[in-house]
Amino acid sequence: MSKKKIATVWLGGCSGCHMSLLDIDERILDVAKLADIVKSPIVDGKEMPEVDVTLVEGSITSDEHLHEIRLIRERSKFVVSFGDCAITTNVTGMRNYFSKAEVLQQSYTHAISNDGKGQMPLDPALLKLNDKVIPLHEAVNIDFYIPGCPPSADTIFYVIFELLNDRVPHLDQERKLKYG
Amino acid sequence: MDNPAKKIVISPVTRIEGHAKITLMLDDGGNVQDAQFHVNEFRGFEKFCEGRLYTEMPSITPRICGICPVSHSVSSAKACEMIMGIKPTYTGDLIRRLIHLGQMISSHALSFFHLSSPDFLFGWDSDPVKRNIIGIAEQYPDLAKRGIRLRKFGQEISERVTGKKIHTMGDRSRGNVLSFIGRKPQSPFGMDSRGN
Repeated sequence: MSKKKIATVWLGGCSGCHMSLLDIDERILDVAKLADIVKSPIVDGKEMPEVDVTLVEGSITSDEHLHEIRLIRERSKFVVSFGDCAITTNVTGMRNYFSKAEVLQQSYTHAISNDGKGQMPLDPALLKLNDKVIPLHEAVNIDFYIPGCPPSADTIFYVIFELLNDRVPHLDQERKLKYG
Repeated sequence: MDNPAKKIVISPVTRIEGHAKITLMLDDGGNVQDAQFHVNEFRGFEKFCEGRLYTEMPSITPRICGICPVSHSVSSAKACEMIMGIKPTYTGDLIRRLIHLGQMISSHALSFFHLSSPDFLFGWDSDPVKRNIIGIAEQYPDLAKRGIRLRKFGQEISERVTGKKIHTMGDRSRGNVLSFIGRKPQSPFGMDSRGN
């Protein structure tokens, strides 16, 4: 059996879930024995290859995120919605109470810290923000969910370890299944 | 530049603690005409924090960044203290300093060992597949373990004081309400320098 491949991707979120993934500490070496981490903020692969498991942190906030999640879905056997922003949009989705224009204006021009000199970002090379933030499962089918803000390192390790050993992970009370 | 002959896009940038993209625009001769550094992450905290309760701010603002959540939590608590014209208690201030220093240890360990050491040890022209902390663990296992443990030491300070490694809880204006309450009376310094 060839070695499995996993990817971890960071969309609209704070990277706290990835930090919690690093909090598995030395156990990351056990993961590396079972699988190659082929794309992740901590490795150098830029392309999205065909993989067995992809953990996706964050919500979908822009056109680039939407494109990326569809590509991830196409190329991953299992997609894991990783953390509260991916599952419920969480804090990332708090801007949904306002219009996109209001939110951008406040950040780039109206905020007092801009000293009245702020400008709206207009460069065509920048991503295009979507009107509303959506969770991953509104865009693509999701196979597994790991809630938490962030999910605990133990929970993350358990899910990855089970998936890499061809078992279905079950999150329950014992695994401290919780949001927030 | 409007019509570059060639565009090189590096996304994401993997040596920094954050979301970024670099676009290089080349002319016909392959010379760099323009280089852009994009921070392509926007969430709108400036707007949705308006009108929230001051007690919520130390829980909302850490979500700006999961690598430096303590800084955001503490600064928002301090900002609300300034609004109210009050000062933290002596103990509260010390607890903030303690968890902030913990974060500094783990963040520096992450930057140096996890993100940068592969470049220093393997070089820029080495195989990109191995140029990461796992590659370091294969070739320099002791160094990788020490880096991982140093980061763990910083994270554990946060966990032992506030109950969580990331997105610490309990910071409030005037001090830290959850600190040490209901936890085992265990010193954050009950670890050796390797985080065990």
